[in-house]
Amino acid sequence: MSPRRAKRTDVDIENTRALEPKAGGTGAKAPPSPGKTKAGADGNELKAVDEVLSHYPAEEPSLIMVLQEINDRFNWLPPEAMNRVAGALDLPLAKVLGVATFYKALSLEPKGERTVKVCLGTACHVRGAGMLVDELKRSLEVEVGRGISPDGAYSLETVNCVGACAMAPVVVVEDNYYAHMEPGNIAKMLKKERPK
Amino acid sequence: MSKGNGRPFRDANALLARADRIRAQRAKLKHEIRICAGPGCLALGARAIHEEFLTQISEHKAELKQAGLALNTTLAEKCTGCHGMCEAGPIVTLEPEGTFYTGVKPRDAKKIVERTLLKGELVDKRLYELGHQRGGGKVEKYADIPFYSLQVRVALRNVGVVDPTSLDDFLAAGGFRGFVRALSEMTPDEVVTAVEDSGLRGRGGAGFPSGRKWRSALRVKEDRVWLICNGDEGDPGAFMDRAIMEGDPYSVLEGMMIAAYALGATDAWLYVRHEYPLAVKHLQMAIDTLENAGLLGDDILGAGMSLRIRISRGGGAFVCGESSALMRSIEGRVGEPRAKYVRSVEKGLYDQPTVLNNVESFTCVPAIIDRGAEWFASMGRDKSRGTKAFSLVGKVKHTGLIEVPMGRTLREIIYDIGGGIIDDRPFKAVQTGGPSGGCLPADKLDLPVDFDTLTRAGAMMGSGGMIVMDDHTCMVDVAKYFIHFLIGESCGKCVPCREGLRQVHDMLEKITSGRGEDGDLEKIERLCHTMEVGSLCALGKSAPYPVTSTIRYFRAEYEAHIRDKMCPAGVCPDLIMYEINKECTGCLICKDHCPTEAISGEKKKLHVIDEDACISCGICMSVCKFDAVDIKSGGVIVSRDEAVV
Repeated sequence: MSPRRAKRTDVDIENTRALEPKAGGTGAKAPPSPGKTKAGADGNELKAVDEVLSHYPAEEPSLIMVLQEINDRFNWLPPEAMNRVAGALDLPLAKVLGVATFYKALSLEPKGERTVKVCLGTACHVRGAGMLVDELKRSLEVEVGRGISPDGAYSLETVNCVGACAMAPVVVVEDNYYAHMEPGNIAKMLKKERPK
Repeated sequence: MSKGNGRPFRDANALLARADRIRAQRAKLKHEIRICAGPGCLALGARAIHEEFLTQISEHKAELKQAGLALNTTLAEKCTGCHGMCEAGPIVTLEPEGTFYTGVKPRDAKKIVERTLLKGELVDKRLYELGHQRGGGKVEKYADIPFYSLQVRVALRNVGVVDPTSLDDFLAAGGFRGFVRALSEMTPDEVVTAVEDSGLRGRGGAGFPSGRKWRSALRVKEDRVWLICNGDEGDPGAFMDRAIMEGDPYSVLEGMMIAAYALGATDAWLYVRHEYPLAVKHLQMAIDTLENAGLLGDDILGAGMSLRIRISRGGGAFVCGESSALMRSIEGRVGEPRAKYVRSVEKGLYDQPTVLNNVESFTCVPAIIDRGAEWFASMGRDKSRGTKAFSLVGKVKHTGLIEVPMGRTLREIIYDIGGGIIDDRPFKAVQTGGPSGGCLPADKLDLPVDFDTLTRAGAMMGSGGMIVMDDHTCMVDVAKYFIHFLIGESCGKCVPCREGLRQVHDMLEKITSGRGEDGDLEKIERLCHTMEVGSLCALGKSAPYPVTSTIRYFRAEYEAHIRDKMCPAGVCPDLIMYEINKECTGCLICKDHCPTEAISGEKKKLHVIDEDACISCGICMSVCKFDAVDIKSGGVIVSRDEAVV
């Protein structure tokens, strides 16, 4: 019957980007480059995982929030990080993996520097979002949720609804919303967003 | 933007006194500039507009002062939640006169300050324009725009009105009156009775009477009751709860506080969807402010009540909007629903009694307590009382957020409020209720919108997404879309849902790719029936609705796909071809953009698409400036009006 109290965290999504480990990039906005992330979690990264873990009580109810925060920092969940989490929360690794694979917000694959998200809400769908996905898959040479474009710049995801239906179809690149998109202006958008 | 006076309120009177003081201050306001900072307007640059207003106000400080306008005493500015008319964003309104500017750009801030504030003139170019079928012309005040004048806002009462980050603003708008009344004038039992009498039914989709749920929780003899607010608004095309959480977080919390008082709950969770970071931010700010103000925590307003509200961010799983899955997710586990032999008011979160309501339901509660159950029950129809918020999206002119009394017809909502179909095309269907809902055709337009009528017609109220479709929407494709969506979101625990969805999807894929055979529809219908009766939770049970309702109302369209290998709406890629007509000026744009080099032609000469190389990506049509690309299906041009079947 004991109430399970999680420490409240300061939820400040707008600033989570700025909190990312500085190891990866020069600009505050640049997440770690895929090359670096792929190499796996080094000492610094595990330290970051431990820091995340220290914000939460070491019990099962913390699991999703811990994984979310780690995912926010690295853009994905490195295997070493999940091992560490399993150990710290005293859970079987299978349980951690089960949660990690169940929730869409958690990624088991490294991501490109920018994630292009195509909204597939119903409003976007009826206004032709499917064609945008096809075009992006073709021009980035990736699959939805899998792979990084050859230049390391982009990954592609679809989201169910970003709640900006008036602007349908919508494509979101990091924090920038592109309204009323058509297959014909995808190339222009990618050019504008490409990390310098 | 003051955030309260820093000291906790000792009792209810101190809180009401503060509200009175703020209102007295506000009475001095000559102008208030409200900048919409809803998701739509933000994406179109509302932040920059706000900054430009601040710059302009400080640059014109002397002149404004001369005109009797001083910032924060007689002139105020603020960012609010979503105004609803997202299509016309970014929106700026001026109060108290109610001037409504649409499509505002940062450079307009100067004009609005110089002309409207200083000279009392309007900036004509930014006024709302009536559609031609309504006689055209500009409208100055938003109360005169049909989109607004036909609405009744209860759940959305403060959205677009208050600054969501300011407790003072909320108090000035009558916030916490309901909570204070409940706490100081009513017994918990009376609060539950009021909610019962109001006829409030769960706004999240199921429509279960909230009062009855609360009553059964009162009957459970256990010390601890959990309270959960479900903000996991997963239905694609629905963003009412998002607008409320972002634009009026205090009302959500006030509703939860009243419920906690009625049910004796001391711990509450707010489960907010992962995709809504701004909602999380605003709610967390509101919770922190209320804790500092003595409205959350221990001994609230000196009345001995204790309540803690915590936020749990969802993980991006649609099924977690289902109550038992949501509770698992809060517990840190995989969000799988359970069979409901025992209801969650008896055994819910951590197997303890739990009351779960949706954001919109909670938001209605303070209004019901403040204005009385009879007032709420006086709106609506039959067993659906009060108002309901909808997100009106798709191929409708005024995409946006609306709220109407239950019982308005679909036609009133889509044509009178929504302004009709984009480009005045024919209406084909409206999809309500998200992936668990159904599609209703044109002959159902006069159906009143309430819980029971929609269910009888094969759709459902759901959380309030209303997606309008025109004749260029393929219903088979829409059904396939929802099934595809649900495949990704099914938790996989029970077989009828997990495997049924896959099989239905495969058969729909077969039909849309031109390989359909006679008998396929019957097979799909049988499988849908199995899913309806055999699935464990509401997700699986209702999953076939998009398919069964489209087969019921648009069977001919399915048959065209199967027998004639044709997509009458010109959507399904395998059944359509693109063709260049004689409008082509030979500008080479489509040729340059074609990813498979399927287009041949020279400058100023008619281009031709090679059907074998074409992958039906649609780029040529989207880049053509001369309307020279047609869609052909089954040998007929389907993209033009005259050939539409």
